[in-house]
Order: sequence, then structure tokens, then C-alpha cells
Amino acid sequence: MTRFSAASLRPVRAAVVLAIALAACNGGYDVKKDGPLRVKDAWVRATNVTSTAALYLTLENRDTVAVMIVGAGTQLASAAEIHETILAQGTSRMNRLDSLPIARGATLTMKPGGIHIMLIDLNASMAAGDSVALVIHLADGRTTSVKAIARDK
Amino acid sequence: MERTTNRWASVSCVLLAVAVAVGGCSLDSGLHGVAVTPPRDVPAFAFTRTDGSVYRTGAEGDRPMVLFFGYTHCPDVCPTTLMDWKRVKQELGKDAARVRFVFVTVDPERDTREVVDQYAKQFDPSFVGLSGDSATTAGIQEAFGVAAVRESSTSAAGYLMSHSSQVFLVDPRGRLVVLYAFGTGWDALLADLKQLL
Repeated sequence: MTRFSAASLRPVRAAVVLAIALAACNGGYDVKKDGPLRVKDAWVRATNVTSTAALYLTLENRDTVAVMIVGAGTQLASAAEIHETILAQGTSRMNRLDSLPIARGATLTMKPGGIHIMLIDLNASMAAGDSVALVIHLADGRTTSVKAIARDK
Repeated sequence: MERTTNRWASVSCVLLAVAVAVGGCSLDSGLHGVAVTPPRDVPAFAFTRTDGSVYRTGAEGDRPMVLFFGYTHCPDVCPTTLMDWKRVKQELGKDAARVRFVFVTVDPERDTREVVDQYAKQFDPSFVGLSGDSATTAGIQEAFGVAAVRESSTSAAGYLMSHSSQVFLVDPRGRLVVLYAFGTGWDALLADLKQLL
């Protein structure tokens, strides 16, 4: 049986402590395994009208480079597009965005009255608590999976 | 009716600007939205409902009316506004029965009477969704100083509509008394309705 002295273990302990600290700092997030975008608080408004719905979420770019969102898809709807609501002078209009960049380390929050993922021609209504699976496509070919919860709010 | 002018920008902006400049906010009036001072008479409009009955906007007994112009292909601003109304109605309790919550489509071409009423009622069965003919749609928009513009788009949703994003509060005498810009907390509308009721 090999014996280790306390002194010989010091560098190991230091490495373990450092690894734990780094993991905590990164929230245990592994870009290689989990993808470049960390998804938080994904939700879609519950609806029984199937023409359109909006999906909101927060995306944090954990990669070492900027990423470019170029599309999204879900089996729930015939199309999923990135749209931006523009509010000015008491009016509202929507623009479709063909691409949406997120800088390295930046966080993008999609919320009512701003950027959202517009689901078009839903094949089912959504009740509060239902979940919606969606995939976000990046320009470099990578994808991010999203699970959004339907909320009545 | 497709509306291709830019009138919406000017008229809506002027209405809001005048309301802000003349009426100011709440501190003077006690109201929590943007007060319209003096309150402005708005004419009544008649809409045919899904059952063939006629629904009239405007003064109705002691009932204030909360009004919004939108369309059912709108996934963001419109449902957010109607969810705020739902919250307001819940908070009002039994007094909510005296309030008329009315959603008027600016896209009658796609929003039939049935579609728009179903859309409004998914938020609360008492909410009213109205779809008018071209003349009625244009008339009520003009009365409230707003307009809608059909925007071409590459979206799979087809065309999109630019439209007023404000909520209008009409008092029981049929006068426009308060505007609420999108993003105003639902509690502002709640507080003003409590004051009116």
C-alpha cells in the first residue's frame, strides 16, 4: 500500500480546491458537453389559439467566441422565427431577425415587448405546465436544446 | 381594409404627446396612467358579434370600458396586454363585472368575429373580441387617434401589423380619460378603475 505524506498531498489538494472553485464559478457548465449557450427561464405563454405564440428565455454565451443564432425549430409549430418587437410613439411593430449575435460572455434576455421566438401555426394548444421542446441553430452548425414551460402569465 | 398611410405614427404620437403635455401624469389628476385632459368624447361604434347581436362601444350605464387595438397573429404585445387585464379583473373581484374589457382587431381580414372573440375569451370569458367591417374598423381607429399598417414580411406568419400599443380607458360617460403605454404596470390600470368604479 502506497503511503502519501501530508506534504506530498498539498499540491493535489490545491488542484482539487482549484477545480471545485472553477466548477462553481462556471456553475458546473461544460461548453463541450452542454453547448455554447446556457439556457435559463425558458417559457411560452399558454394559449388555446394556435396561429402564433411567443417563446421567451435567457441565453448566456459560455463559449470563448461570439455566437450567431440563425434560426430555431420545434415540432410544435410549422415555423419558429426570431422576432423583435419595436415600441415607439405609442405603436408596436415586429421585425423578423435573420440572425442574432451574442458576444462572448454576454447574456441575451428575450422578454415581452422585445426579442422573442415567434412560433407560427401551432399544431396544438398549450396549457399551463405543458412543455415545449425547441432547438436553436447557430451559424457554425451547433445547436442548443431548449425546454420551455407554458405559463399562464 | 389595408391601410398604407403613416397616419398612425403622427396621430397616435400627437394624441399621446398632447395627453402627456396637457394632462400630465397622475400626480395632478390622481390617475396612474397618462391622463387625457380634458377628457375627450369618443363616438360609439356598433360591431356585429358571433351570435348576430350588436355590441356598442361607448357609454353604457355606469360601466367604464378598457380598450385595446391588436390582432390575433400578434404573439407578444397583445397577449401580454390581455394577461394584464386578466390580472386586473381578478384583483377587482366582484367590481370587475362593471368593467367592459374590449379587444378590437386591426386585422379583420384574418380575424373573423369568431377568431377574435375566441382569442379574447381565452384570457377571460368576459372579455370581448370585436371584428368590424372596413368602415367601422377605420372609424374607431380614427376616433381613438390610432391607425394600423399592414407590413410586408418574410415571416411564415404572412403579413404583420403595426398597431397602437396603448390601452385606452373610457369612462362611463363615453369619454377617453386615460392612456397606458405598453409596459405600464397592470396595477396602474387597476388603481384607476377602482377610482372610476
